[in-house]
Amino acid sequence: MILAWLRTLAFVQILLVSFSVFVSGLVAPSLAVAGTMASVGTTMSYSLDTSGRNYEANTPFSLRGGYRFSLADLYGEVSFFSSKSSGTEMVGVSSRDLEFLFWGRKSFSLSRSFALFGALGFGGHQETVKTRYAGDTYLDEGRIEAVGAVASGVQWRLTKAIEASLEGRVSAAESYAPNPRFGLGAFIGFAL
Amino acid sequence: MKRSSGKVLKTLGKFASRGGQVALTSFALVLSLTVASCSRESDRFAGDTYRLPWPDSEGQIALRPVQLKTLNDPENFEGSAARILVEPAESSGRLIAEKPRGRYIRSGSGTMIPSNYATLQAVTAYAHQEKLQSFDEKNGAATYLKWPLTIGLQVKVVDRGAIVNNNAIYDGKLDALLVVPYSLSDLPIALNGGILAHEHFHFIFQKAVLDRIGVQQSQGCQHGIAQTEAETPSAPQETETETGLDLDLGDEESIARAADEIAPGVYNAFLLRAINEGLADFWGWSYSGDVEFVGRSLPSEERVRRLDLEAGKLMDARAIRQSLVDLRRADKVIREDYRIGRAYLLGTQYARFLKGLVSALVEQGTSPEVAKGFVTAALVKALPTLGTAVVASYATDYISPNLILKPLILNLPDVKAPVCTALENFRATETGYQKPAACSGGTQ
Repeated sequence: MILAWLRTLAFVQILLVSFSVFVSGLVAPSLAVAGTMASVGTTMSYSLDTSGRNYEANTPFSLRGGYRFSLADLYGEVSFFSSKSSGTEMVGVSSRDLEFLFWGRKSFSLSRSFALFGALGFGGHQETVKTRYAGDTYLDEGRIEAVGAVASGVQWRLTKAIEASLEGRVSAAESYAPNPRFGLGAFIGFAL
Repeated sequence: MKRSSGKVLKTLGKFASRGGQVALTSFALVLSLTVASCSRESDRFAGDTYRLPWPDSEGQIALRPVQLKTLNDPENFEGSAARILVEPAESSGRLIAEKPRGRYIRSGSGTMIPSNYATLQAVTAYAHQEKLQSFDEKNGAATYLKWPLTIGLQVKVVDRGAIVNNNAIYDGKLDALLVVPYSLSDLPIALNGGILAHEHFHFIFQKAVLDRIGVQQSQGCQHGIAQTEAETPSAPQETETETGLDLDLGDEESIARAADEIAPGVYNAFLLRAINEGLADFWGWSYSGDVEFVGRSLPSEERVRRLDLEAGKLMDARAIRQSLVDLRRADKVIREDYRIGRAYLLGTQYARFLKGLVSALVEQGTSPEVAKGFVTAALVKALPTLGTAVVASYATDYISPNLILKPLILNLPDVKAPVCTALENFRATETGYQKPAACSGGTQ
């Protein structure tokens, strides 16, 4: 148990350091504030089922909000995902995933409308499980575990304020199977 | 707010120069991914508590915390008691599967909570194997088995071209328990300790008796395992060992003649099947304490398999052979199904008798739990005697249905009138029957 905590702590520390180094490098010359940003979207990823032979798709609903600086975007992202209940009339299990990540994102303009970006994120993941048996129901919240992620993709400015993005993502957490997990995300939102 | 954010970021910037940032960031990320992905140890979970559908001392099932001492790899459902394979296939006479991926959360109190239904079934089935391992040790049966046992869950068993549901099958050839998908609305078989204990006994009977005569137990003899949803392997060819008869079932002489023509091997296979199923039902009750454990998952079986009814009188070998005569008229598929059904009915009589022995010991003044332990241990001690007798006569003689009874009684520690009465009320009336010495001896 203590070993697990130490590992989680080490994991979070490493991520914090790497994130701070990354951000500090980006913002060292100047830090001009450009405005706020928010978006909604999903990141489709696949995880192994219990048999270890089939993959099942996860498509969480995600909300983002943050600040767009001149050199980088800093934002938070919250994602929700609920699995459908499986079992029989007498017994069943369902779960809900909540993930929150803090991202630093650096964009490189290709044209007036398009930009490529790379991003580094860290945060936490929590799963809540509902178990029912013969009329009794238990709701359990799991412990928050550390998540680290990198992402890269393309941004497309549709209007002056609205933009869409597509990204590939690799994220890692102890409970992920497979770990790391690969995902493909699509977001739309505004940036003022 | 914006200004303070800038200050924080600038402060962070003091910790590293721009030149080294890319390398350090990459290193940190790789290291963090490595830490995240390589953090399992083989025994860090042994002794953890899981919340599972679990019976109390009265046999009532509810979600309860259960400590598992041997499950050292819960993600792969592996420990010293069992290895659980999910959706396995058969290859070269072995059960194989991808590494399963059990999923759990750890609650605030530290309890492991299965986070999907397949994991709940797998870890509950494992928990019962761990408790059965202790149960076997207590009753002297553990030495027959090679641990960990192999258990397949969600196995796509195909019988005559159709996927089998709502059953559990001990396969002597694979030496594995196969739990097939459950589609009813009651207690899934993977969560039913009584049925798992019943199947567990088949492992013991295979080793103690059937291996000695080279027979491999299986539910029916024609199943295969599909590797995918679409695949339905054809049934293995059944070896025809009997020919059908055409006789008048109203003619007793014809029936008697036909009964005499039933080969000892055919009759003995039937009787051993019945004894195996009956002792397994008793084992299921002894482990679970539930007289209707079969009906909990399979309501259609509840009436015929419940164990709190009178055992009735055991048929003698000749009557059993006669009961098989009309089966010889049916085609081989119907014959096999019907014979299995009859074997279960006869087996239930044995199970009820064994439970009756427990009641008789209680009547003699033994406490219920101790009495149950006496009969369970006596049963295990009687198996080698049964095995030896079966080896001697399997192919040549008709085994007496009373064969298991005498060693059973001999291994009970305290035999008095109630036990002897229970025995007399149950045993088949056969010439040459020798009463156990404790029941006053003599020949009938």
